[in-house]
Amino acid sequence: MSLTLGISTSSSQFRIVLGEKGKVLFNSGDNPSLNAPDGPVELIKDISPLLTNGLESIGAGIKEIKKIIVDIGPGGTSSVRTGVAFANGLSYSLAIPVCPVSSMELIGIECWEKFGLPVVIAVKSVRGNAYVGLYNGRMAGLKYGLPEQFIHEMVAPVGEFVVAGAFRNKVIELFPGREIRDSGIQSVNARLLVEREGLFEKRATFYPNLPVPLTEQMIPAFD
Amino acid sequence: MAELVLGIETSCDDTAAAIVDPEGNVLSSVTASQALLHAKFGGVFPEVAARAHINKIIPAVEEALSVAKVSPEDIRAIGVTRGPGLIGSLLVGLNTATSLGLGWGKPVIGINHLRGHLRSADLESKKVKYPAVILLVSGGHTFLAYMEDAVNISLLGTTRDDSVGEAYDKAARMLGLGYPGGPVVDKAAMAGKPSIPFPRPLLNSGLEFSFSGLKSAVARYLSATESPVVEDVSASFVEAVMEILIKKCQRAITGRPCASLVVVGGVAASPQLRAEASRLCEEVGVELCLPPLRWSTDNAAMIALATWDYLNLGVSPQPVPQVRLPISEF
Ligand SMILES: [Zn+2]
Repeated sequence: MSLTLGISTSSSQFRIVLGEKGKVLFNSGDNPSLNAPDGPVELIKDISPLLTNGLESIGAGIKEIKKIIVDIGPGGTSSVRTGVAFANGLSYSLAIPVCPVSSMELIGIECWEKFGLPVVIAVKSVRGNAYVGLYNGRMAGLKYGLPEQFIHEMVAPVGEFVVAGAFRNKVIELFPGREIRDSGIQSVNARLLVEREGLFEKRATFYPNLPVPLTEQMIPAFD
Repeated sequence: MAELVLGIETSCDDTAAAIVDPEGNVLSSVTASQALLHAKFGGVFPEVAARAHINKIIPAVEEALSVAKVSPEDIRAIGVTRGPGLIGSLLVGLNTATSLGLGWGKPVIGINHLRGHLRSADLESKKVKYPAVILLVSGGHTFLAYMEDAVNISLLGTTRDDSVGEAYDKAARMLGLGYPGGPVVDKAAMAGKPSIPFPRPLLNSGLEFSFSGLKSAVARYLSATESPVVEDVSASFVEAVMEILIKKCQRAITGRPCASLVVVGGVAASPQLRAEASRLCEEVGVELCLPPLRWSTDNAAMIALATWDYLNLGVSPQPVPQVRLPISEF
């Protein structure tokens, strides 16, 4: 087999997806007994049992993984870091490429395909700040800061849009009197890491250029 | 020939990897220090530490392998710090080690960071004569332990509040001397007179430590004094710290069979502590064991050496974080 491994740890439920040529063969999310428990980060410790169980269930060995696609957040900072550290170690030890993709883009893709409308994705951060992204078939904008300071300017070029992400209620709040479509989608659907792998392949990278978690420092702040 | 251990250490602010053989010979030891990153905070800032670990961990492993001129096939096991430490920092080391182990097909063992420190004196050559009393003094830890041998370890006494290193860092900050506090306060102390009678908390009872009262006394003195002499404050602070540490060591040594006193941890770099410990050992007739300073601060070679103990005993804790792991556990 020539497997693609998807790793998403931006939400409290860690997900491992294994697939081949865009077809999902294993998704840890389909097996509730494998789910990492919700709750404090101390409980979310270990990705390896998810992976070893997945490989076992499809009768594959670790060396059959030929590519990794990893969710680099934003999301829980410790949990994203856990996923990226795991992905990087595996990429290095197996000498296989790793492709980074943000949780905002993954949420955007799902929403865009479902609604056929531009998507505003909002992920809460500290002190009222948020990551806010605009997706319309590609990431068309990404900002960090107080959403009220830039959201109107960000969506000005688009007409109707749909909101997604765990902080989408904040976006709805910022457009009083306007009918905003709520996608109901708040976190990453990890299947997309494998099903849409073609979108991410060109970002393939190796040591010493391994992915890092997405942080606000990587996004030019709104001023 | 798989006869080497790869050690990985990320419990606090140093990203480290090392290759060590079964005799404790260090083939390579790489430490990427974050001290400069944390200097502006005057202490370790957990979020910054974890972020730096993720950038530095694979390069550290790569360098450890290449300096030792070995390949992953030469590795018998990977030992990685599982605690105690900062959760974000531990998670990076543990998840990196786990995935390296999966990719290379090598076992991964979770190691108690404190057992690494306690074994650091035996790196490169077996120096410790057992039974031994060990004083571990650093920014993260302050305690006395008793080692019947390399693996049978019991805690004699720990600190009720700050570690010695924290007390040094806080004193240095109050005195405007910079970070890390140990070397700068020790240096200033050498030019001063210990003329201020700072308290020595818990001096006359048991083997536990407390440094918060001493720290507050320094703060009170500084706010009440018109133009304090930094050197004299430093000398008085260091004298108080040394008296506490040495008195506790003396009490630990005389209370049980003891062949050597081992002093490890970052504060073991203190010239004052080295001199005082040497005087004590001469006086009570036990051997003093001071490992080279490079093994006294956090490093991965000590984790790799402890990994050999675990392999020899057949214990292999899961590589998952234990933020408050006690010394009694593996
Ligand atoms: Zn330490």
